[in-house]
Amino acid sequence: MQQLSRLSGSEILTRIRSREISAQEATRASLARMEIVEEKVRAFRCILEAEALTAAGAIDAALARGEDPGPLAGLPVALKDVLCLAGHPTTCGSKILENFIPPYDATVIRRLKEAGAVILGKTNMDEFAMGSSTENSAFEKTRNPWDLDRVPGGSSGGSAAAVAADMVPVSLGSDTGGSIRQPAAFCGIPGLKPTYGRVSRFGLVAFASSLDQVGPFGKTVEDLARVLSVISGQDPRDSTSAGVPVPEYAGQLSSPLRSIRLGVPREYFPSGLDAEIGGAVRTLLTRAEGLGARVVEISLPHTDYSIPTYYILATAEASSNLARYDGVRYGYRAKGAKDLGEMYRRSRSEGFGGEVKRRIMLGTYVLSSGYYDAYYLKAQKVRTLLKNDFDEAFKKADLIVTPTTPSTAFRFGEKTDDPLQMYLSDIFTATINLVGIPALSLPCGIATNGLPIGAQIIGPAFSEARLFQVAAALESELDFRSRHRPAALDA
Amino acid sequence: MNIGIETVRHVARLANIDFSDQELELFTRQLDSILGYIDKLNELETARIEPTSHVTRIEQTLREDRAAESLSVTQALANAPESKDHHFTVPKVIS
Repeated sequence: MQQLSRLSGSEILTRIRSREISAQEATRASLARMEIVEEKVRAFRCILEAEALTAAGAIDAALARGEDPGPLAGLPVALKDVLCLAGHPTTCGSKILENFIPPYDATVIRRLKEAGAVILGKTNMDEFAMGSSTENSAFEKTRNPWDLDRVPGGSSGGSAAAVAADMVPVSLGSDTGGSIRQPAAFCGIPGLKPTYGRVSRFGLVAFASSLDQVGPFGKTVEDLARVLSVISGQDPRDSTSAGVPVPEYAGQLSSPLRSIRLGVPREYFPSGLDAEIGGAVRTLLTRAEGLGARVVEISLPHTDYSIPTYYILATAEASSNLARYDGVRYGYRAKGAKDLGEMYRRSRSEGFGGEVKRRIMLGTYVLSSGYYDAYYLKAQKVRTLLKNDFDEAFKKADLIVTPTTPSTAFRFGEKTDDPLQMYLSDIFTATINLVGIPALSLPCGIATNGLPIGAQIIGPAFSEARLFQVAAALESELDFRSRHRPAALDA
Repeated sequence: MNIGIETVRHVARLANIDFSDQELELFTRQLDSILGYIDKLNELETARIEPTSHVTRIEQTLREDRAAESLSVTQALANAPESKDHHFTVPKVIS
Protein backbone atom coordinates (compact mmCIF):
# COMPACT_ATOMS: atom_id res chain seq x y z
CA MET A 1 0.00 0.00 0.00
CA GLN A 2 2.79 2.40 0.94
CA GLN A 3 4.49 1.85 -2.41
CA LEU A 4 1.25 2.33 -4.36
CA SER A 5 0.85 5.80 -2.86
CA ARG A 6 4.22 6.79 -4.29
CA LEU A 7 3.10 6.23 -7.87
CA SER A 8 2.23 9.12 -10.16
CA GLY A 9 -1.36 9.65 -11.26
CA SER A 10 -0.53 8.41 -14.75
CA GLU A 11 1.10 5.22 -13.36
CA ILE A 12 -1.96 4.53 -11.23
CA LEU A 13 -4.30 5.07 -14.19
CA THR A 14 -2.33 2.61 -16.33
CA ARG A 15 -2.40 -0.04 -13.61
CA ILE A 16 -6.12 0.35 -13.00
CA ARG A 17 -6.89 0.21 -16.71
CA SER A 18 -4.82 -2.98 -17.12
CA ARG A 19 -6.59 -4.35 -14.01
CA GLU A 20 -3.24 -4.86 -12.30
CA ILE A 21 -4.76 -3.01 -9.35
CA SER A 22 -8.37 -2.06 -8.63
CA ALA A 23 -9.68 1.48 -8.19
CA GLN A 24 -10.57 0.57 -4.61
CA GLU A 25 -6.98 -0.50 -3.97
CA ALA A 26 -5.77 2.86 -5.24
CA THR A 27 -8.25 4.67 -2.98
CA ARG A 28 -7.32 2.46 -0.02
CA ALA A 29 -3.63 3.23 -0.61
CA SER A 30 -4.42 6.96 -0.40
CA LEU A 31 -6.50 6.47 2.76
CA ALA A 32 -3.79 4.33 4.36
CA ARG A 33 -1.15 6.96 3.62
CA MET A 34 -3.41 9.66 5.11
CA GLU A 35 -3.74 7.54 8.23
CA ILE A 36 0.04 7.73 8.69
CA VAL A 37 0.95 11.27 7.66
CA GLU A 38 -2.10 13.54 7.73
CA GLU A 39 -1.74 14.08 11.48
CA LYS A 40 1.64 15.70 10.81
CA VAL A 41 0.80 17.54 7.57
CA ARG A 42 -2.83 18.63 8.13
CA ALA A 43 -3.49 19.14 4.44
CA PHE A 44 -7.18 18.26 4.54
CA ARG A 45 -10.32 20.03 5.73
CA CYS A 46 -12.30 16.82 5.29
CA ILE A 47 -11.65 13.27 4.08
CA LEU A 48 -14.50 11.55 2.23
CA GLU A 49 -13.59 7.94 2.96
CA ALA A 50 -17.00 6.26 2.50
CA GLU A 51 -17.97 8.19 -0.65
CA ALA A 52 -14.53 7.60 -2.16
CA LEU A 53 -14.67 3.84 -1.60
CA THR A 54 -18.18 3.70 -3.06
CA ALA A 55 -17.14 5.72 -6.13
CA ALA A 56 -14.05 3.55 -6.60
CA GLY A 57 -16.21 0.42 -6.26
CA ALA A 58 -18.46 1.70 -9.07
CA ILE A 59 -15.38 2.18 -11.28
CA ASP A 60 -14.24 -1.37 -10.58
CA ALA A 61 -17.72 -2.69 -11.40
CA ALA A 62 -17.77 -0.77 -14.69
CA LEU A 63 -14.33 -2.10 -15.61
CA ALA A 64 -15.45 -5.64 -14.73
CA ARG A 65 -18.41 -5.21 -17.11
CA GLY A 66 -15.96 -4.18 -19.82
CA GLU A 67 -17.12 -0.55 -19.88
CA ASP A 68 -14.85 2.48 -20.18
CA PRO A 69 -15.33 4.55 -17.01
CA GLY A 70 -13.42 7.53 -18.44
CA PRO A 71 -9.89 8.86 -18.86
CA LEU A 72 -9.32 9.33 -15.10
CA ALA A 73 -10.96 6.06 -14.02
CA GLY A 74 -10.12 5.37 -10.38
CA LEU A 75 -7.69 8.28 -9.96
CA PRO A 76 -7.71 9.60 -6.36
CA VAL A 77 -7.92 13.40 -6.32
CA ALA A 78 -8.12 16.10 -3.66
CA LEU A 79 -9.88 19.44 -4.14
CA LYS A 80 -9.01 22.82 -2.72
CA ASP A 81 -11.86 23.87 -0.44
CA VAL A 82 -12.61 26.85 -2.72
CA LEU A 83 -14.47 24.54 -5.14
CA CYS A 84 -18.13 23.72 -4.54
CA LEU A 85 -18.74 20.01 -3.98
CA ALA A 86 -22.45 19.25 -3.72
CA GLY A 87 -23.58 18.08 -0.30
CA HIS A 88 -20.29 18.73 1.53
CA PRO A 89 -19.12 21.82 3.41
CA THR A 90 -17.14 24.25 1.24
CA THR A 91 -15.50 26.62 3.70
CA CYS A 92 -12.96 28.50 1.61
CA GLY A 93 -10.84 28.48 4.77
CA SER A 94 -13.25 30.97 6.35
CA LYS A 95 -15.46 31.07 9.43
CA ILE A 96 -17.99 32.99 7.36
CA LEU A 97 -18.59 29.87 5.19
CA GLU A 98 -18.06 27.27 7.94
CA ASN A 99 -21.59 25.85 7.55
CA PHE A 100 -22.06 26.40 3.82
CA ILE A 101 -23.10 23.26 1.93
CA PRO A 102 -23.28 23.87 -1.83
CA PRO A 103 -26.32 22.44 -3.63
CA TYR A 104 -24.28 21.90 -6.82
CA ASP A 105 -20.90 20.73 -8.10
CA ALA A 106 -18.38 23.10 -9.65
CA THR A 107 -18.02 22.35 -13.38
CA VAL A 108 -14.44 21.09 -12.85
CA ILE A 109 -15.71 18.64 -10.21
CA ARG A 110 -18.54 17.44 -12.44
CA ARG A 111 -16.00 16.87 -15.23
CA LEU A 112 -13.63 15.00 -12.90
CA LYS A 113 -16.45 12.75 -11.69
CA GLU A 114 -17.64 12.08 -15.24
CA ALA A 115 -14.06 11.12 -16.19
CA GLY A 116 -14.02 8.54 -13.39
CA ALA A 117 -11.86 10.38 -10.83
CA VAL A 118 -12.43 9.52 -7.15
CA ILE A 119 -12.71 12.47 -4.77
CA LEU A 120 -10.78 11.82 -1.56
CA GLY A 121 -11.39 15.12 0.21
CA LYS A 122 -11.18 18.89 0.42
CA THR A 123 -7.92 20.63 1.24
CA ASN A 124 -6.91 23.49 3.50
CA MET A 125 -6.18 26.96 2.13
CA ASP A 126 -5.65 30.59 3.03
CA GLU A 127 -9.02 32.21 3.76
CA PHE A 128 -10.69 33.09 0.42
CA ALA A 129 -7.39 32.16 -1.29
CA MET A 130 -5.75 35.29 0.12
CA GLY A 131 -2.24 34.50 1.26
CA SER A 132 1.02 32.80 0.36
CA SER A 133 1.48 30.38 3.26
CA THR A 134 -1.92 28.84 4.16
CA GLU A 135 -1.42 30.46 7.60
CA ASN A 136 -4.54 32.56 6.92
CA SER A 137 -6.81 29.50 7.14
CA ALA A 138 -9.40 30.06 9.88
CA PHE A 139 -9.07 26.38 10.84
CA GLU A 140 -5.55 24.96 10.92
CA LYS A 141 -1.98 25.32 9.75
CA THR A 142 -0.82 22.98 6.99
CA ARG A 143 2.84 21.93 7.22
CA ASN A 144 5.36 21.50 4.45
CA PRO A 145 6.13 17.75 4.03
CA TRP A 146 9.81 18.59 3.42
CA ASP A 147 10.15 20.39 6.77
CA LEU A 148 7.25 20.41 9.21
CA ASP A 149 8.42 23.73 10.72
CA ARG A 150 7.83 25.47 7.40
CA VAL A 151 4.82 26.61 5.42
CA PRO A 152 3.68 24.70 2.33
CA GLY A 153 3.10 27.98 0.50
CA GLY A 154 -0.32 29.22 -0.44
CA SER A 155 -3.00 29.82 -0.95
CA SER A 156 -3.46 26.23 -2.27
CA GLY A 157 -1.12 24.89 0.45
CA GLY A 158 -3.28 21.90 1.37
CA SER A 159 -3.58 20.66 -2.22
CA ALA A 160 0.20 20.96 -2.76
CA ALA A 161 1.12 19.30 0.55
CA ALA A 162 -1.37 16.44 -0.04
CA VAL A 163 0.41 15.50 -3.28
CA ALA A 164 3.94 16.07 -1.93
CA ALA A 165 3.13 13.83 1.06
CA ASP A 166 1.87 11.04 -1.27
CA MET A 167 -1.67 11.22 0.12
CA VAL A 168 -3.09 11.73 -3.38
CA PRO A 169 -1.32 11.67 -6.76
CA VAL A 170 -3.13 14.76 -8.08
CA SER A 171 -5.20 17.65 -6.75
CA LEU A 172 -6.83 20.86 -7.88
CA GLY A 173 -5.98 24.34 -6.68
CA SER A 174 -6.78 27.87 -7.77
CA ASP A 175 -4.30 30.56 -8.75
CA THR A 176 -4.99 34.31 -8.60
CA GLY A 177 -1.42 35.60 -8.13
CA GLY A 178 0.66 32.45 -7.72
CA SER A 179 -1.51 30.28 -5.47
CA ILE A 180 -0.78 27.08 -7.44
CA ARG A 181 2.78 27.75 -8.63
CA GLN A 182 4.25 29.05 -5.36
CA PRO A 183 3.06 26.09 -3.20
CA ALA A 184 4.09 23.70 -6.01
CA ALA A 185 7.61 25.18 -5.83
CA PHE A 186 7.68 25.08 -2.01
CA CYS A 187 6.48 21.45 -1.96
CA GLY A 188 8.68 20.13 -4.80
CA ILE A 189 5.94 19.10 -7.25
CA PRO A 190 4.72 20.35 -10.65
CA GLY A 191 1.72 22.70 -10.74
CA LEU A 192 0.02 24.61 -13.55
CA LYS A 193 -1.90 27.85 -13.78
CA PRO A 194 -3.74 27.53 -17.10
CA THR A 195 -4.56 30.38 -19.51
CA TYR A 196 -7.35 32.67 -18.31
CA GLY A 197 -10.52 31.13 -19.80
CA ARG A 198 -9.05 27.64 -20.33
CA VAL A 199 -10.91 26.15 -17.34
CA SER A 200 -14.47 26.92 -16.22
CA ARG A 201 -14.83 28.76 -12.92
CA PHE A 202 -18.47 27.88 -12.30
CA GLY A 203 -18.53 26.76 -8.68
CA LEU A 204 -15.15 28.32 -7.83
CA VAL A 205 -15.68 30.78 -4.97
CA ALA A 206 -14.65 34.10 -6.55
CA PHE A 207 -11.68 36.14 -5.29
CA ALA A 208 -10.53 38.36 -8.20
CA SER A 209 -12.56 37.58 -11.29
CA SER A 210 -10.18 38.95 -13.94
CA LEU A 211 -7.32 36.84 -12.48
CA ASP A 212 -8.68 33.60 -10.92
CA GLN A 213 -8.05 30.29 -12.67
CA VAL A 214 -8.38 26.64 -11.56
CA GLY A 215 -5.46 24.30 -12.22
CA PRO A 216 -3.86 20.96 -11.31
CA PHE A 217 -1.02 19.74 -9.08
CA GLY A 218 0.47 16.31 -9.80
CA LYS A 219 3.45 14.03 -9.29
CA THR A 220 4.53 14.53 -12.90
CA VAL A 221 3.95 16.83 -15.84
CA GLU A 222 1.99 14.02 -17.50
CA ASP A 223 -0.38 14.04 -14.49
CA LEU A 224 -1.05 17.74 -15.07
CA ALA A 225 -1.64 17.11 -18.78
CA ARG A 226 -4.15 14.33 -18.17
CA VAL A 227 -6.13 16.34 -15.63
CA LEU A 228 -6.09 19.54 -17.71
CA SER A 229 -7.61 17.75 -20.73
CA VAL A 230 -10.53 16.70 -18.53
CA ILE A 231 -11.23 19.97 -16.69
CA SER A 232 -10.72 22.35 -19.66
CA GLY A 233 -13.22 23.64 -22.17
CA GLN A 234 -16.12 25.96 -22.74
CA ASP A 235 -18.91 26.00 -20.17
CA PRO A 236 -22.27 27.67 -20.75
CA ARG A 237 -22.27 28.45 -17.02
CA ASP A 238 -19.07 30.56 -17.17
CA SER A 239 -19.14 33.43 -19.66
CA THR A 240 -15.35 33.83 -19.37
CA SER A 241 -14.63 30.22 -20.40
CA ALA A 242 -13.07 30.13 -23.85
CA GLY A 243 -14.32 28.15 -26.85
CA VAL A 244 -10.78 27.09 -27.74
CA PRO A 245 -10.51 23.36 -28.63
CA VAL A 246 -9.07 21.13 -25.89
CA PRO A 247 -6.31 18.76 -27.11
CA GLU A 248 -5.33 15.43 -25.58
CA TYR A 249 -2.33 17.08 -23.93
CA ALA A 250 -0.86 13.86 -22.56
CA GLY A 251 -0.73 12.30 -26.02
CA GLN A 252 1.53 15.10 -27.30
CA LEU A 253 4.19 15.12 -24.62
CA SER A 254 7.18 13.83 -26.52
CA SER A 255 8.57 16.50 -28.75
CA PRO A 256 12.22 17.40 -29.21
CA LEU A 257 13.42 20.65 -27.65
CA ARG A 258 15.55 21.30 -30.73
CA SER A 259 15.37 24.91 -31.93
CA ILE A 260 12.92 26.02 -29.23
CA ARG A 261 13.79 29.49 -27.91
CA LEU A 262 13.69 29.88 -24.12
CA GLY A 263 13.61 33.53 -23.05
CA VAL A 264 15.37 34.56 -19.84
CA PRO A 265 14.11 37.94 -18.60
CA ARG A 266 16.94 39.80 -16.86
CA GLU A 267 14.45 41.48 -14.48
CA TYR A 268 13.62 38.06 -12.96
CA PHE A 269 17.27 37.47 -12.00
CA PRO A 270 17.99 40.65 -9.98
CA SER A 271 21.35 41.07 -8.25
CA GLY A 272 19.75 40.35 -4.86
CA LEU A 273 18.24 37.03 -5.97
CA ASP A 274 18.98 34.04 -3.73
CA ALA A 275 22.11 32.53 -5.29
CA GLU A 276 20.95 28.92 -4.98
CA ILE A 277 17.61 29.67 -6.67
CA GLY A 278 19.23 31.62 -9.49
CA GLY A 279 21.82 28.86 -9.84
CA ALA A 280 19.24 26.06 -10.01
CA VAL A 281 17.26 27.83 -12.73
CA ARG A 282 20.45 28.61 -14.69
CA THR A 283 21.45 24.95 -14.44
CA LEU A 284 18.05 23.96 -15.78
CA LEU A 285 18.61 26.29 -18.75
CA THR A 286 22.02 24.74 -19.41
CA ARG A 287 20.42 21.29 -19.42
CA ALA A 288 17.77 22.59 -21.85
CA GLU A 289 20.55 23.84 -24.14
CA GLY A 290 22.07 20.37 -23.96
CA LEU A 291 18.76 19.05 -25.31
CA GLY A 292 18.90 21.48 -28.23
CA ALA A 293 17.01 24.51 -26.88
CA ARG A 294 18.30 28.00 -27.54
CA VAL A 295 18.48 30.37 -24.54
CA VAL A 296 17.88 34.02 -25.39
CA GLU A 297 18.17 37.02 -23.08
CA ILE A 298 14.99 39.11 -23.04
CA SER A 299 13.60 42.04 -21.07
CA LEU A 300 10.23 42.60 -19.37
CA PRO A 301 10.85 46.25 -18.48
CA HIS A 302 7.76 46.90 -16.32
CA THR A 303 8.34 43.95 -13.97
CA ASP A 304 8.87 46.20 -10.91
CA TYR A 305 5.35 47.55 -11.30
CA SER A 306 3.54 44.24 -11.32
CA ILE A 307 3.04 43.71 -7.57
CA PRO A 308 1.59 47.20 -6.95
CA THR A 309 -0.68 46.72 -9.99
CA TYR A 310 -1.69 43.29 -8.78
CA TYR A 311 -2.57 44.47 -5.27
CA ILE A 312 -4.78 47.27 -6.59
CA LEU A 313 -6.71 45.14 -9.08
CA ALA A 314 -6.94 41.97 -6.97
CA THR A 315 -8.15 43.80 -3.85
CA ALA A 316 -10.60 45.98 -5.80
CA GLU A 317 -12.16 42.90 -7.38
CA ALA A 318 -12.12 41.08 -4.03
CA SER A 319 -13.88 43.91 -2.19
CA SER A 320 -16.63 43.72 -4.78
CA ASN A 321 -16.84 39.90 -4.87
CA LEU A 322 -16.87 39.58 -1.07
CA ALA A 323 -19.72 42.07 -0.69
CA ARG A 324 -22.01 39.05 -1.12
CA TYR A 325 -21.14 37.77 2.40
CA ASP A 326 -23.82 39.66 4.26
CA GLY A 327 -25.40 36.99 6.45
CA VAL A 328 -28.60 36.85 4.39
CA ARG A 329 -28.59 33.93 1.93
CA TYR A 330 -25.81 31.69 3.27
CA GLY A 331 -22.86 31.78 5.58
CA TYR A 332 -22.39 33.18 9.07
CA ARG A 333 -24.93 35.56 10.59
CA ALA A 334 -24.19 37.44 13.84
CA LYS A 335 -26.82 36.89 16.49
CA GLY A 336 -28.97 39.55 18.14
CA ALA A 337 -28.45 42.48 15.73
CA LYS A 338 -31.23 45.03 16.16
CA ASP A 339 -31.36 46.13 12.53
CA LEU A 340 -30.18 45.06 9.08
CA GLY A 341 -27.15 47.38 8.95
CA GLU A 342 -25.84 46.11 12.27
CA MET A 343 -26.42 42.51 11.13
CA TYR A 344 -24.34 43.11 7.98
CA ARG A 345 -21.48 44.80 9.85
CA ARG A 346 -21.31 42.35 12.71
CA SER A 347 -21.63 39.25 10.50
CA ARG A 348 -18.74 40.47 8.34
CA SER A 349 -16.61 41.69 11.25
CA GLU A 350 -17.00 38.40 13.15
CA GLY A 351 -16.87 36.15 10.07
CA PHE A 352 -13.82 37.43 8.14
CA GLY A 353 -10.21 37.05 9.28
CA GLY A 354 -7.56 39.77 9.36
CA GLU A 355 -6.00 39.40 5.91
CA VAL A 356 -9.40 39.26 4.20
CA LYS A 357 -10.47 42.45 6.02
CA ARG A 358 -7.20 44.13 5.06
CA ARG A 359 -7.75 43.36 1.39
CA ILE A 360 -11.42 44.36 1.46
CA MET A 361 -10.34 47.66 3.02
CA LEU A 362 -7.60 48.28 0.46
CA GLY A 363 -9.94 47.34 -2.40
CA THR A 364 -12.77 49.52 -1.09
CA TYR A 365 -10.35 52.42 -0.72
CA VAL A 366 -8.91 52.21 -4.24
CA LEU A 367 -12.42 52.07 -5.71
CA SER A 368 -13.84 54.84 -3.52
CA SER A 369 -14.93 58.23 -4.76
CA GLY A 370 -11.96 60.47 -5.52
CA TYR A 371 -9.37 57.67 -5.64
CA TYR A 372 -10.61 55.53 -8.54
CA ASP A 373 -8.56 57.27 -11.25
CA ALA A 374 -5.40 57.46 -9.15
CA TYR A 375 -5.38 53.77 -8.29
CA TYR A 376 -7.77 51.51 -10.18
CA LEU A 377 -7.64 53.19 -13.60
CA LYS A 378 -3.89 53.72 -13.27
CA ALA A 379 -3.40 50.01 -12.49
CA GLN A 380 -5.49 48.97 -15.49
CA LYS A 381 -3.27 51.10 -17.69
CA VAL A 382 -0.11 49.60 -16.23
CA ARG A 383 -1.68 46.21 -16.89
CA THR A 384 -1.67 47.15 -20.58
CA LEU A 385 2.06 47.95 -20.34
CA LEU A 386 2.73 44.58 -18.68
CA LYS A 387 0.78 42.80 -21.40
CA ASN A 388 2.75 44.68 -24.08
CA ASP A 389 6.01 43.55 -22.39
CA PHE A 390 5.00 39.92 -22.84
CA ASP A 391 3.71 40.42 -26.41
CA GLU A 392 7.15 41.82 -27.32
CA ALA A 393 8.99 39.07 -25.42
CA PHE A 394 7.10 36.31 -27.24
CA LYS A 395 8.38 37.67 -30.57
CA LYS A 396 11.89 36.72 -29.43
CA ALA A 397 11.15 33.63 -27.34
CA ASP A 398 8.72 30.70 -27.59
CA LEU A 399 8.58 30.26 -23.82
CA ILE A 400 10.01 32.18 -20.86
CA VAL A 401 11.85 30.63 -17.91
CA THR A 402 12.19 32.28 -14.48
CA PRO A 403 12.40 31.25 -10.82
CA THR A 404 8.92 30.55 -9.38
CA THR A 405 9.67 32.14 -6.01
CA PRO A 406 12.35 34.46 -4.58
CA SER A 407 13.00 32.07 -1.63
CA THR A 408 12.43 28.47 -0.59
CA ALA A 409 9.63 27.68 1.92
CA PHE A 410 9.76 30.03 4.91
CA ARG A 411 9.06 29.32 8.58
CA PHE A 412 5.67 29.71 10.27
CA GLY A 413 5.16 33.27 11.48
CA GLU A 414 8.11 34.61 9.50
CA LYS A 415 6.01 36.96 7.35
CA THR A 416 2.64 37.14 9.15
CA ASP A 417 3.32 40.50 10.85
CA ASP A 418 4.33 42.27 7.65
CA PRO A 419 1.67 42.00 4.91
CA LEU A 420 3.94 43.69 2.36
CA GLN A 421 6.70 41.10 2.83
CA MET A 422 4.12 38.35 2.36
CA TYR A 423 2.88 40.04 -0.85
CA LEU A 424 6.42 40.16 -2.24
CA SER A 425 6.64 36.35 -2.19
CA ASP A 426 4.40 36.53 -5.31
CA ILE A 427 6.85 38.76 -7.13
CA PHE A 428 7.60 36.29 -9.96
CA THR A 429 4.10 34.85 -10.31
CA ALA A 430 1.47 37.63 -10.03
CA THR A 431 2.31 39.29 -13.38
CA ILE A 432 1.33 36.10 -15.19
CA ASN A 433 -2.25 36.38 -13.87
CA LEU A 434 -2.41 40.07 -14.85
CA VAL A 435 -1.44 39.07 -18.41
CA GLY A 436 -3.74 35.99 -18.42
CA ILE A 437 -1.16 33.56 -19.80
CA PRO A 438 -0.31 30.01 -18.62
CA ALA A 439 2.67 29.11 -16.43
CA LEU A 440 3.92 25.89 -14.90
CA SER A 441 6.20 25.44 -11.89
CA LEU A 442 8.63 22.53 -12.19
CA PRO A 443 10.90 21.32 -9.37
CA CYS A 444 14.46 21.97 -10.54
CA GLY A 445 16.74 21.52 -7.53
CA ILE A 446 17.28 21.32 -3.79
CA ALA A 447 18.80 24.12 -1.74
CA THR A 448 21.36 23.46 1.01
CA ASN A 449 18.52 23.81 3.55
CA GLY A 450 17.06 20.64 2.01
CA LEU A 451 14.07 22.44 0.48
CA PRO A 452 12.92 22.25 -3.15
CA ILE A 453 13.39 25.02 -5.72
CA GLY A 454 10.89 25.64 -8.52
CA ALA A 455 11.40 26.98 -12.03
CA GLN A 456 8.53 28.77 -13.72
CA ILE A 457 7.94 28.09 -17.42
CA ILE A 458 5.66 30.67 -19.04
CA GLY A 459 3.97 30.56 -22.45
CA PRO A 460 1.64 32.64 -24.63
CA ALA A 461 -2.14 32.26 -24.20
CA PHE A 462 -3.37 28.70 -24.87
CA SER A 463 0.15 27.29 -25.33
CA GLU A 464 -0.32 24.62 -22.63
CA ALA A 465 0.59 21.79 -25.03
CA ARG A 466 3.99 23.43 -25.64
CA LEU A 467 4.50 24.11 -21.92
CA PHE A 468 3.87 20.45 -21.13
CA GLN A 469 6.25 19.25 -23.85
CA VAL A 470 9.14 21.38 -22.63
CA ALA A 471 8.41 20.72 -18.96
CA ALA A 472 8.19 16.96 -19.56
CA ALA A 473 11.52 16.93 -21.41
CA LEU A 474 13.21 18.87 -18.60
CA GLU A 475 11.53 16.72 -15.95
CA SER A 476 12.94 13.55 -17.46
CA GLU A 477 16.37 15.20 -17.88
CA LEU A 478 16.50 16.27 -14.20
CA ASP A 479 14.79 13.18 -12.75
CA PHE A 480 13.97 15.18 -9.60
CA ARG A 481 11.21 12.88 -8.37
CA SER A 482 13.31 9.73 -8.13
CA ARG A 483 16.31 11.60 -6.70
CA HIS A 484 14.59 13.61 -3.96
CA ARG A 485 11.83 12.87 -1.46
CA PRO A 486 10.46 14.81 1.48
CA ALA A 487 12.28 13.12 4.35
CA ALA A 488 10.35 14.72 7.23
CA LEU A 489 7.45 12.26 6.96
CA ASP A 490 9.26 8.96 6.80
CA ALA A 491 11.54 9.68 9.76
CA MET B 1 1.42 59.67 5.35
CA ASN B 2 -0.59 58.17 2.51
CA ILE B 3 -3.75 57.53 4.51
CA GLY B 4 -5.07 58.76 7.89
CA ILE B 5 -7.21 57.08 10.53
CA GLU B 6 -10.32 59.12 9.63
CA THR B 7 -10.16 57.91 6.02
CA VAL B 8 -9.75 54.33 7.23
CA ARG B 9 -12.80 54.79 9.47
CA HIS B 10 -14.77 56.07 6.46
CA VAL B 11 -13.64 53.13 4.27
CA ALA B 12 -14.63 50.68 7.02
CA ARG B 13 -18.15 52.14 6.91
CA LEU B 14 -18.25 51.70 3.13
CA ALA B 15 -17.07 48.10 3.49
CA ASN B 16 -19.60 47.33 6.25
CA ILE B 17 -16.91 46.17 8.67
CA ASP B 18 -16.55 47.36 12.30
CA PHE B 19 -13.11 47.82 13.85
CA SER B 20 -11.99 48.60 17.38
CA ASP B 21 -9.81 51.71 17.78
CA GLN B 22 -6.79 49.46 18.20
CA GLU B 23 -7.57 47.59 14.95
CA LEU B 24 -8.14 50.91 13.16
CA GLU B 25 -4.66 52.08 14.18
CA LEU B 26 -3.04 48.83 13.05
CA PHE B 27 -4.87 48.88 9.71
CA THR B 28 -4.02 52.53 9.15
CA ARG B 29 -0.33 51.74 9.64
CA GLN B 30 -0.43 48.67 7.39
CA LEU B 31 -2.52 50.29 4.63
CA ASP B 32 -0.24 53.32 4.76
CA SER B 33 2.78 51.14 4.12
CA ILE B 34 1.08 49.22 1.29
CA LEU B 35 -0.13 52.45 -0.36
CA GLY B 36 3.39 53.87 -0.07
CA TYR B 37 4.63 50.89 -2.06
CA ILE B 38 1.77 51.16 -4.58
CA ASP B 39 2.72 54.82 -5.19
CA LYS B 40 5.54 53.45 -7.30
CA LEU B 41 3.06 53.33 -10.20
CA ASN B 42 3.20 57.13 -10.37
CA GLU B 43 6.70 56.85 -11.81
CA LEU B 44 5.01 55.71 -15.04
CA GLU B 45 3.52 58.11 -17.58
CA THR B 46 0.22 56.53 -18.66
CA ALA B 47 -1.82 59.43 -20.08
CA ARG B 48 -1.98 57.87 -23.53
CA ILE B 49 -2.25 54.20 -22.49
CA GLU B 50 -5.56 52.37 -22.85
CA PRO B 51 -6.69 50.48 -19.73
CA THR B 52 -6.96 46.65 -19.82
CA SER B 53 -9.81 45.09 -17.89
CA HIS B 54 -10.02 41.76 -19.66
CA VAL B 55 -6.92 40.06 -20.97
CA THR B 56 -7.74 37.34 -23.45
CA ARG B 57 -10.09 39.38 -25.68
CA ILE B 58 -12.05 36.26 -26.44
CA GLU B 59 -15.77 36.68 -27.04
CA GLN B 60 -17.98 35.97 -24.07
CA THR B 61 -19.48 32.53 -23.85
CA LEU B 62 -23.23 33.00 -23.76
CA ARG B 63 -25.84 30.28 -23.53
CA GLU B 64 -29.20 30.39 -25.25
CA ASP B 65 -31.85 32.36 -23.41
CA ARG B 66 -34.06 29.40 -22.63
CA ALA B 67 -35.69 28.27 -19.40
CA ALA B 68 -33.90 25.28 -17.89
CA GLU B 69 -33.95 23.31 -14.69
CA SER B 70 -32.64 25.26 -11.72
CA LEU B 71 -32.41 24.93 -7.94
CA SER B 72 -35.66 24.31 -6.08
CA VAL B 73 -36.80 26.89 -3.53
CA THR B 74 -35.99 24.44 -0.75
CA GLN B 75 -32.44 23.96 -2.06
CA ALA B 76 -31.97 27.69 -2.53
CA LEU B 77 -33.05 28.38 1.05
CA ALA B 78 -31.20 25.44 2.59
CA ASN B 79 -28.14 27.53 3.53
CA ALA B 80 -30.06 30.58 4.75
CA PRO B 81 -29.39 31.51 8.40
CA GLU B 82 -33.10 32.32 8.69
CA SER B 83 -36.00 31.80 6.29
CA LYS B 84 -39.78 31.74 6.42
CA ASP B 85 -42.57 31.11 3.89
CA HIS B 86 -40.17 30.67 0.94
CA HIS B 87 -38.30 33.89 1.76
CA PHE B 88 -34.97 34.85 3.33
CA THR B 89 -35.69 36.73 6.54
CA VAL B 90 -33.58 39.55 8.00
CA PRO B 91 -33.77 41.86 11.03
CA LYS B 92 -35.73 45.10 10.72
CA VAL B 93 -34.40 47.33 7.94
CA ILE B 94 -35.15 50.54 9.86
CA SER B 95 -34.91 50.38 13.65
